Order: sequence, then C-alpha cells, then structure tokens
Amino acid sequence: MSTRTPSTDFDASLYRQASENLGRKFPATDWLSPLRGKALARFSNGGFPTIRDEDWRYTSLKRVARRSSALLHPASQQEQSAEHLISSSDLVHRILPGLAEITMVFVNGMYQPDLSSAPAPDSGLIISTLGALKKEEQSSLLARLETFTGTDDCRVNAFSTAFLTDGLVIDVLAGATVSAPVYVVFLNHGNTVGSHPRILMRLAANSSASLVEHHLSETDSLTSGITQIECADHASLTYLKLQQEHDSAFHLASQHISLAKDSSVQAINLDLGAGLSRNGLTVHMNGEHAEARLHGLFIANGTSHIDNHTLVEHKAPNTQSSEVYRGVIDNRGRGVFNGRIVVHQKAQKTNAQLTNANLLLSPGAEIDTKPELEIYADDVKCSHGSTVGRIDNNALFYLRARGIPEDEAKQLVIRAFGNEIVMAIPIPQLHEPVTDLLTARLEQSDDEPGLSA
Amino acid sequence: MKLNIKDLHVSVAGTEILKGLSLAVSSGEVHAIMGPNGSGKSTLAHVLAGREGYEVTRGSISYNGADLLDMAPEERAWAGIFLGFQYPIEIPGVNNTYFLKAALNAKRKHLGQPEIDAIAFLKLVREKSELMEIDQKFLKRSVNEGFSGGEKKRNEVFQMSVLEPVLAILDETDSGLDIDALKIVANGVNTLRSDDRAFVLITHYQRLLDYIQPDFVHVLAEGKIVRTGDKSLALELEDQGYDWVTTGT
Repeated sequence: MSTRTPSTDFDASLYRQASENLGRKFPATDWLSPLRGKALARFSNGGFPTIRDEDWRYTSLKRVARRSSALLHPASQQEQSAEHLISSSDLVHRILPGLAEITMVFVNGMYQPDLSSAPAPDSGLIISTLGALKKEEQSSLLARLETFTGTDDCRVNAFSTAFLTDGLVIDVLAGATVSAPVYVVFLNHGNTVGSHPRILMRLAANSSASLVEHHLSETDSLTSGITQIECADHASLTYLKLQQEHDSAFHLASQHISLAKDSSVQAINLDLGAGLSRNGLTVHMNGEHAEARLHGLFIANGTSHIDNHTLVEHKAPNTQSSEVYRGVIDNRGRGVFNGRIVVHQKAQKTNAQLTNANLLLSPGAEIDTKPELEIYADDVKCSHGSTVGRIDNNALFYLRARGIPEDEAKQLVIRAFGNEIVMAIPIPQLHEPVTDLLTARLEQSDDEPGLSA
Repeated sequence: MKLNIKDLHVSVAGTEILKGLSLAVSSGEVHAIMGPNGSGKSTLAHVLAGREGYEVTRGSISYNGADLLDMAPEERAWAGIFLGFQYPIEIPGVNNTYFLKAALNAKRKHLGQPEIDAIAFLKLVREKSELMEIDQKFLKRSVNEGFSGGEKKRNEVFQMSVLEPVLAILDETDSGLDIDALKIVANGVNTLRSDDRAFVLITHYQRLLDYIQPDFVHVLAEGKIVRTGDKSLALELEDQGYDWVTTGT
C-alpha cells in the first residue's frame, strides 16, 4: 500500500471501529460490510483531502476531520424507529409542498417507511432501499456502489462509502414517463449525527423522470452523500438538489450523472444552508447528442462556506452543455466555484457554455471562481466566463425613485438575481415554495448586523 | 404643491453643470424645459429625484416648504415626486407587476394606509395599462427587460399613472418615440393633468408640445434658465434654433 501524509488529527483506528460497528447496528445492510471495509482502507490511505490537493485548495476539511469521528456513531436501527425521531406533522413544515405523491424520507441515514409514500405499482418506477434488497439483488449492486471510490481524488467518496448504512435504488422502466417527481428527504435529526446517504438511479431507454433530493439538518451534523444517475438512450432526467443544512452542519456531496446517446438532463443545485458545503458534480456525456443543462445557486451568508465544483466531460460528438451558476455572498461568507469543461478528442461539434456570476454584498465576503476549458477536439463551440460584482446602483436608484426603501430595494435586486435560477427549475409547482426559501435565507443576512459591514 | 428652486449650482465629478438655476412650480402647472444637449436638463431631473453623484454646491430646493435635498429618493417618491427616466433601467428577475405593487404599497405604508387590496390593484393596473396601450404580457415580464425604447417610455408613463404623483418630472420621455407612441405618451400625461398636480417636461424638441400644451416654456442653456415664456417660445425655438436665445447670455 502506498503511503501519503495523513491529514492532521487523523486517527484511522477511530474510523475503523465505527465502520466495523455498523454491521452489528444495522443488520439489514450487513451485506455492505466488505464494501465498507474496502472503502475504509482507501479512505484511510490519506484521510480527508487537504488544501494541498488542487481540487480542495479553497476548501479546508480540517474542521470536518476534527469533528467527523464524533459524528460517526449513529444510533442503531432499533433506536432510530420513527417514533423516537420525528413525527410526520413535524416534518410536513420542513419539506416541500406539492411533492407528496412519491416521498422517500431518510432520518439520520435510515429509511423511514412510516414517513414515506412509495410509488404506485404501475408508476413505471421501481424503488427499493439498500436495507430491503433481496440477496440476489445485492451482489449486482456492489460494483455500482463502489464505482466512485477507487481513485485517489475520491477519498471523500470512499469516506461516505465506508459508513454507508442505507440508500435508495431507483429504476425507471424503459419507455416510462413518470410525471410525479421522486422526492427524497434526508433529515439529520438531533445532535451529533452523521449520515452517508446514497442514491443509485437508472433511467432506462426512452424514459423520463424527476428526482428531488432535499437535505435538512438541525444542528452540527455531517452529511457525506453520493448520488449516481445513469441515463440510457433517449432518457430524460430532471434533477434538483436542495441543500438546507443547519448553519453549523457539514455537507459533502458527490453527484455523478452519465448520459447515453440522445439523453438529457436538467440539473439544479441550490445551496441555501450549511456551515461548510461542497458539491462535486460530474456529468459524463458519453453518447452522441446528449444534452445537459445545469444551474446552480448558492447563498453564503453568516460565516458559511459553499463550494461547487463541476466537471462536464464531453466524450462523444454533437453533445451540448450549458451551465449557469450564481452566488450571493454576504457577511463573512465564502463561495468557491470551479467549473471545468473537458472536450475529448472525439467529441467534435461539442457546444459548451459556462457562466458563473456572483454578487458580493459585504467587504468581509469572498468568492474564488475559476471557470476552466480543456479542449482536445478542433471543431467545437465553447465559452466560459465568470463575474463578481456588487448590486447595480442604477437599479437601486430606479427602485428607490419609485418609493421602494433602500433595504427593500436591495433585497429585491438580490432576490431577483437568485430567482432567475429558481425559475429554471422545470417543476413549476416548486417555484413559489423555493422562492420563499430563498427569501428566508437572504433575510438571515439582515439578522446578523454584527457581521455585515 | 410648491416647488421652489433658488440659485441652484450642481457639480458632477468636479465639473459645474448647473450654474445658478431658479424655477418655481405650483400645482396645476405644466412647465416645459428646453435646451440644447449638455445644458444641464437631465442633471436637473436627477437632482430633483435625489440621485447620488450630484453635488449641490450652492442654492436650495424647497418642496412644500421642506428641504428637498435632505430627503432620500424614496422619501421624495412618498411625497409625490415622480421621475420619468430618460433611460429606464432594466431589472432582470423583478416582475413588472410585482415592482409596481411594491412601489404603491411602500408609499401607502409611509402614509399609514393598509396594503392595496389585490382586486383593486388588478383593476387599477388593467385600467391604466389600457390607457397606455400596454399589452398585459409586458406586465408579467421583468422590469424593462427586453423592452424596446418606445415600450420603456410608455412603461414610465404607465407607472406614473398608477402612482399618481403630485409632481411629475419627465426627462426626455419623448425622445426615441415614433409619432404613435408620442401620442400615447401625451395622452397619458393629458389624462393625468389636474389642478392638484404639476408637470415638468424636459425635452429637446418642440414636437411633444404639439400634444401637451405647456403653461410655461423655459430655455436652459449653460446651466441656467435664460428665457421663460409661454408656448409660443417653443415655436420660436423650433423656427430659429437655440442660438437665438443663447447668444448674448
């Protein structure tokens, strides 16, 4: 085994013990133990990435490393029965309205059937949890669960896999058009919890479906999740991830979407919370005429740190991607955006665009933004750019001259900036509730006068 | 309403633009301010509305006895001042109707009135948008975004008709309009004319005054008013150009 300098505070034995305990605590997913063991070995070879890793230059996981071992000891399956956790009436105020048809709720990493509503049998969907899989189904999944844990830059994925306790397997049948979004809620409830959610989704040929992934927490929890989605030929996916973790929570997410011929995805990442959040989104455009439209919005206020790393791999000819990310950074918040587009040699006639626009609202706010293009084909149309600005004074004056007070005018302009991303969500019934969440998040900046300048 | 501008001197970035301008406007009056480019017309409009970056070095502006220069732009709006922008600003993502409702309610809040009821607001908007021949679909779009020059100007007068100001300053609202749009804009102003409202029309051309009859015409040149007359002064300017009034001042 090759060795590398472990990150500070790294004590492999703590992690080993916690991972090994999971088999006993969660017998339904004991079959994952060998996978967890392998993943742990990979993670232990170095621990969390440090700022010496180029991909993590602006996001230090020191705080996560220091807290993580305390967040690795979940209560057992019995202790986590829904009655101990949260009632559906408590939950209903926190989840998005209008998505009740198919709702899968996980609390502290464990599936909660009492709080969930599974799809109807004829819906064109097959959904199962890792804990409910039949023996013969388990073995075929192991390879998929391991996919993104092998390489050196995936130590966070290896970490997530080493502590995997439950997850969701979603299959959309060939030709099915599933109009109701699959709404997956991951709630970390109570003190010092860690959860390592996993979604494995497959859309078979000519199918279409929507996935909404919603992360909530109440205190200083740690979420490190992986979402893997594969779209077969002519499949069409809508994917919204909404991150609303507590201000002291850590949120590490890894998203992988692969697109076969003529398939398409519209993905939106909204970061409205967390003390430290990192989204790594990779889109593999494997088939000709695949199309990806990506949007993102992050609000980093208070002292939160939000990092979005995106990678779009154009591997086939005639593929199209467009990406628009926006950041609002206030108080002492910090945003990181790194958007990379790679056009491989055979991906001729690629059309790829990427923009990242940021609003900096206070002198203590910071954004590091870096759009990158890497092109190995010669007949392509690509553009990328990023901007960092303050609120447009002309717009402010116009609003004030119409009688809208300065503070309100500022809020209006900022909200409008973010709302253009919200309006890109292809699930119209979410526009209003998500706009309300955005407004509430932006108003939190006002509550911290000590932090704004 | 009484606006009194006395010996106003205004600098922008260290350059003096207005050099001793005096003007008095009362309710019921329509004043036209004409002048060549660079004479300070838009500076006057911006100073009245409270835009930043305009330094008043001498003189005063009183509005109903209060010091207008002490008031924030929104306070001026609440007190009934409306500026129709020469170049209306595009605000992406802010819906036109929402914006108008926020403006109306901000003023009502200041006056201690409850927010306008949704049905009454829709009725008001429908009525005024018909007057200004504004398509309903514009109301759903972002403020001025993607509007043509003429649509932006009509939107300004539409906003004015909804907000019902006491003193409306229209900064070159006629420029860039074809004759049909000009008639619509003029009609909007004429419909709003009343004994308890005043207008200051800033314009480069006489043609607006074919449709809106001013009570007074002032000629602004090199930062001050050099000539005041009735509407016949505008016609003389049209015939003879600005040289006729500015030479010898």
